Amino acid sequence: MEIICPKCGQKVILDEKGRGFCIKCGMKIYACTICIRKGRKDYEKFVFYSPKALAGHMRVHKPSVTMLSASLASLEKAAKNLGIEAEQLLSNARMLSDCLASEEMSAEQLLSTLLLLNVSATLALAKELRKFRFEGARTPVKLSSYSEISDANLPSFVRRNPWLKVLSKRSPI
Amino acid sequence: MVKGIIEKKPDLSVLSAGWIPPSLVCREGKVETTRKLIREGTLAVIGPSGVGKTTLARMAFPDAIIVDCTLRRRAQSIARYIALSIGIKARRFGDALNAIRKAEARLVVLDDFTLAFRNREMRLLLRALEKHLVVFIAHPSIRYELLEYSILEMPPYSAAELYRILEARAASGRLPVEEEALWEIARLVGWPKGPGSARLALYVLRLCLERTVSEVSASLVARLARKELFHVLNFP
Repeated sequence: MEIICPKCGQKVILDEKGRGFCIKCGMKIYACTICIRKGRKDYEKFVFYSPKALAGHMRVHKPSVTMLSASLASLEKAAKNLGIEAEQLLSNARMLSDCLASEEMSAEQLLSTLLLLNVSATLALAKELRKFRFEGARTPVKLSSYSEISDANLPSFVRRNPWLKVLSKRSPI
Repeated sequence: MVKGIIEKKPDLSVLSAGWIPPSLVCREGKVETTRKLIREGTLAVIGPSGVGKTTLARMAFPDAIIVDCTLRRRAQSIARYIALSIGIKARRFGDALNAIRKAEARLVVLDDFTLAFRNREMRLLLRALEKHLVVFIAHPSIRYELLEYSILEMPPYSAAELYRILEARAASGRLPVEEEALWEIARLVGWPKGPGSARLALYVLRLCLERTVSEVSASLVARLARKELFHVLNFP
């Protein structure tokens, strides 16, 4: 792995753990191997001069962020399958997860985006839920009365079950 | 009492980055020049790595707020640190800027400013720092960004200057190193043959001392110095 020292512009060869030594600066270098593998060239953002600084940067690669991205992807897929018009919202959420990972955002920006996303997500969810409820109310599933069901049509383990009579009288949920 | 040879390892703390020498060897006059220049306003100390820029700032302004931009690169982080040094704990960037604006004039040293993210937020922070005295410590690669301020140049060290620095350190730590060995390192690292970095020269000397056991002869140190330096430089 080869990088350029962000301080002096000297080429530095790194070991497999992302450690190197800049001969011009006379300083040890600690680079983020994940960012190098991604092919990033903005070295000043992921090349550091102390392990402490690198540890601070590694927070952006925390598994929670990855998990968030993965769950968003699955949600997006589900939304597509159901035909819900929330794809835009989910892609926005995906962008947000990337922003969370990049540290570029200021705290204020992040908070306002989160707030906006929360409001829009709640609205979209409420809309979807209402539609689903109405549809559910319009087409109630009604069970036949016990008298109409003949034991011959039922599987052996349900035949002559006294609870069937009770359940058939109940209204659908 | 146990009889035998007890070998005591030399104290290498004098070669570490945190150790501040009693005087800036070969550049004693620069301390006074820096103090004079800061009276005129914001100052930029420019020079390649390892030429004593940070040491100079630490010597000239011992009471200054020194921000290490290798660790704090974002304007938000720098602002919060300055506010905290003033005595105000500000979580938000805006609050930190307000605290800096309202505080009494202080001297702020932005060490390794080359590595700081010089974006819109940084411009806001620099505007908030207008009331204060600021010293930028930077690499020559960003000189054009600092042309509006007074500039103090720190050139790379020659072999003779490096020898004097190494000699002073060896004397301070009573290091078991011979004169010839120090000359060997100074010649290899000194400008124009090498980068002229005192930090690199001290690093090589430290490596040599760590790798020797007890008696340090000049030839042994010189040989190790060359070997280590060639390894560091990725020489074949």
